[in-house]
Amino acid sequence: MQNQEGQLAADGETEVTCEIEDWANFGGGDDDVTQQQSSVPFVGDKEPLSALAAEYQSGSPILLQKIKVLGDKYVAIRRTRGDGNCFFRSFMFSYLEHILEKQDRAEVDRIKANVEECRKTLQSLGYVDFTFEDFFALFLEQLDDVLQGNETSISHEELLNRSRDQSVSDYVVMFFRFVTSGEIRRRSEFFEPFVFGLTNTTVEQFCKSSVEPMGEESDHVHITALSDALGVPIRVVYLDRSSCDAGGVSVNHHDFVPAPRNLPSATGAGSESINPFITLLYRPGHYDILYPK
Amino acid sequence: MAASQASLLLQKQLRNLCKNPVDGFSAGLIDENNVFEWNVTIIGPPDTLYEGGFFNATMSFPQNYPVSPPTVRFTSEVWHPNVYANGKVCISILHPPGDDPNGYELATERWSPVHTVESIVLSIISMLSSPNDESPANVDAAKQWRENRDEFKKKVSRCVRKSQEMM
Repeated sequence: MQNQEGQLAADGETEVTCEIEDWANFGGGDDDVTQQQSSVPFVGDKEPLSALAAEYQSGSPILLQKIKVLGDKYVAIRRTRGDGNCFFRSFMFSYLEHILEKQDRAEVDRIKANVEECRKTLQSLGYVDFTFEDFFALFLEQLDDVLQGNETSISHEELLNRSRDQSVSDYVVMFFRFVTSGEIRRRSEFFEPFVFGLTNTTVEQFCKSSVEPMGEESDHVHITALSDALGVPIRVVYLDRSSCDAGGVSVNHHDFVPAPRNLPSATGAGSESINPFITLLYRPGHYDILYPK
Repeated sequence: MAASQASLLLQKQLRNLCKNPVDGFSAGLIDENNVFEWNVTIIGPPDTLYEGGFFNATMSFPQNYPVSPPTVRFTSEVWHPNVYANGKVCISILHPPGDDPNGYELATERWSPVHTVESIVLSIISMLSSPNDESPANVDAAKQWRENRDEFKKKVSRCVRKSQEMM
């Protein structure tokens, strides 16, 4: 990404023009998914995979072929709004939906311990408690509420409502942004080369300009950090126009597997046979949720 | 729910600032029944052109604070490249999420909920000490700051004097 610092503002400009620069959508930009903006709720309804194919009916044959291949393993998609928070929002819904459906209490206990570690990380980095404690509290509340049998337990429908409610949804996204930022700063020597490769800035600047502010898009650095901090593996399936010369198409995916010490104890310490329960579909500049068969 | 979260957070900050005042400014509510509208008095930082001034400003917090930033507007006259003629302060941390008015703030700090009344005012104090004439809100002031520093100084001195008379 080139540095545009040298480009001084035109002198005649007296009023703020409020143009959103979609800079995180670097290189790719071959898709119109980011333009869905407010026509899509923060978190959409579950749709069959055919809804995805319909989008490309008159478009790239490679993409249509790839969607067909996707159909071997996946049945449905749930879209999220392309407002720069789509990765975090997809993760939020996918994670909470998993807990709700599986009633995975062991996972809740595990992640709560990680959340407490994240809180300590932020404190040790000098963050003032009151700037992040409300976000933490709201996420922990959602965790308790998706477990059934409490007075405050919620249904799947209510989970969807909350994910679409700006005050809840944005707070949970902010929680993830704090956690991600804390993890990147805590292990700044590890993340530094990736950050530098991505934005040509320091870790500190990157966190302040590309992680903590709402609406800033996520990249593999964010995903790695969130996955590590919370100890949750994430599978990202890539849908783009790349093809192999042999003629056949295949759909690539990448598993973000948290650093071993953060792994859920149930899966053991071995790094093989991790089966992420969160699968996201990546199209250049945007993340949605994918449902395996 | 968002509004009550925001007001709790603002009340917390108000209590904190009353207990542990910070050098360089004072802050309080305009109307004690409305925690979303603050009045701050910023003391012109020493060794700057603004030294000796007492500049009043209002901070208006949105209902979804701290997801979105407050707007800050000087009610005292302030001649500065990063302050609009109507008093509105234009610094990068006060731009709402996703809003990148100048398109080149890639590496600058943007609004995020880590900012408090204290950190915002401290940023404004630092803005007074070091104007950023690359993204001027007040083009005339920026031009004068660059090309006619003496006139700029005079104009700022007038603002300082005025602010003292208003006290």
